[in-house]
Amino acid sequence: MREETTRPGLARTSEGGFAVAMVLVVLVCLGMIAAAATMMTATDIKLSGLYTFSSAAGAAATAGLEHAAGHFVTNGSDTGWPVTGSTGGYDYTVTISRDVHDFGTGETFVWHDKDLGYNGLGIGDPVWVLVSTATRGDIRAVQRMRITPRSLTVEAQSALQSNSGVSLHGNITVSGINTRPDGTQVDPSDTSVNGVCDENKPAIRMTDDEDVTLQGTPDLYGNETYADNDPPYVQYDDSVVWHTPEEVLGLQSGALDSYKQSGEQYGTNRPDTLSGIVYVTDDFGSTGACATDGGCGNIQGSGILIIHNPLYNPREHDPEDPMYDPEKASDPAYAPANMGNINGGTFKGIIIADKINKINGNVDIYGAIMSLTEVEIDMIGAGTAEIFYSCQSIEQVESTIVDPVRLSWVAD
Amino acid sequence: MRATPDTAGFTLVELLVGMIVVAVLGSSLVTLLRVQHHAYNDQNAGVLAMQNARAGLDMMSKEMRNAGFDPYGLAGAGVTEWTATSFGYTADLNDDGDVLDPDEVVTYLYDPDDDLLVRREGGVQATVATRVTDLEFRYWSDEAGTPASTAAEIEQIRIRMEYETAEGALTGSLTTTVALRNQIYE
Repeated sequence: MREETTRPGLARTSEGGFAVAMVLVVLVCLGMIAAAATMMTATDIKLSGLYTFSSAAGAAATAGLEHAAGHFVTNGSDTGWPVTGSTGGYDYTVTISRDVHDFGTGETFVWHDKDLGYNGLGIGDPVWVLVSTATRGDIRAVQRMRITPRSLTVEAQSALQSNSGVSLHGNITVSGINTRPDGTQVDPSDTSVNGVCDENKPAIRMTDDEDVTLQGTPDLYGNETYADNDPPYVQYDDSVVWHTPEEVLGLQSGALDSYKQSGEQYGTNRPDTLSGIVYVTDDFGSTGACATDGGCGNIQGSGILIIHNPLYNPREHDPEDPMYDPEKASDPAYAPANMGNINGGTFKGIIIADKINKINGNVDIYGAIMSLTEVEIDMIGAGTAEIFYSCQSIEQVESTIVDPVRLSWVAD
Repeated sequence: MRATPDTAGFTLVELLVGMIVVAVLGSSLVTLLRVQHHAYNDQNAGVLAMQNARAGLDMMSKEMRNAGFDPYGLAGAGVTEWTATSFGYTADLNDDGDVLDPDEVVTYLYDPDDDLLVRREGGVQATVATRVTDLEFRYWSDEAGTPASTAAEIEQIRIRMEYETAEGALTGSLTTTVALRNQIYE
């Protein structure tokens, strides 16, 4: 039998107490370590979250500004403000107000002119301040952007303008007589030539000395001042030559970039009514004969129709120009965009195309047409198409609100 | 006859063998734990270093976008310093027509002696990120990366920042491009 070697009683009780104390101390230490680790983790998570939320709030405020700029295009400054929305869990609100500043003569509304710059003199376009506030709980970001509407000035000086040869066929009519969109003439006897919109113009303005060829029985009308020209009502004037749509519309280079789109959706037949700015960067309409491609298509609506390849520079295609580039001239990527076989419908506004071939059938156009190409490309009209210079249609175009000019931006 | 239970315990040899086996296993385990702990620490330091660098880069990028903010064209705000390791700008943040307020004159620069990304506002200097081993600014005049030849031409800035952990065990690099919107706007 094994002998008991420990004494019962006092010694055993003492060891038990020590163990309890030790366990308690260890537990307290472990608890403190766990609490510290938890606090550190919680702080890290909170800091990381705040940092993420702050960045996201800034992005939401920026999104709000873009939303508001788009709203300004379609609704102006009076309707539908403040603009509200949400993105990524953040709500944004954008207010609009006229900008006010003291230019040294007391507080006044701010205006911006593309040549003069900022001023309090009422010169140029009004400057608006958009303030975007994005929030989510306590997280908040504020950004400010100043914008101004982009005004258009259309320098149309004839019903049809060309930088190259023009060939008119059939019974097409080109009239520089100022005509209302309803087809009535304003004052056919007015012979004033002041360069203003509301006067009679030549039928065709040529910026080059290429020929205007008439085949069949086309009709040309215009300001009687040009009646004795050969052909009559055709003006040769190379004082202003436009090469880009922006130049025609009095805008800075690239101002229309946001409107660029492919012309494919406006293929042979166009049931859509055009409005505002339609800017296609490749061919518009039919490129082949009507019989083989199933129809010539109509053009219906109003506004500004631009058919322009941004890579196309007419000067690079002209062998007589110092900028002539034979490689680009033969590269399809740099070829002019073509408006082809427009056969019917009524369009009121401005058409700007690199190249036009053809305006056919019984289409009616009120406003002005401009071709940008300088190389020898016939601009052919045929059938009973009618092209009328119309100041009223042009002024309607000038009231189009284009993507506003972003003047300055800051994150508060 | 009933068998007597064996209560004699282990022999000395058995105990020694057992202890050696336990020692070997314990040693291996400790080594493994040490390696894992070391790797964990390195990774943790790497994450912290990246977080530190990214926060600094984001803060700098966000603020740089205000460069040239000049709502009335009176303050002459724009880029004031553009070297490979520093970028300075002014912005009329309070719309008062000047850039005389301290927070309207800002410079970000690299301190290679102490491996710091530094922000200087007026005369006050503050550290934005530590353990930055290199910082490079490149200045472009368009999105295609055409080098800018004047301060007014700068529209895009490519920033590359390199960083390391405290012991230099891990290194990393961050790159971003900042569009200076006020330089782009008309």
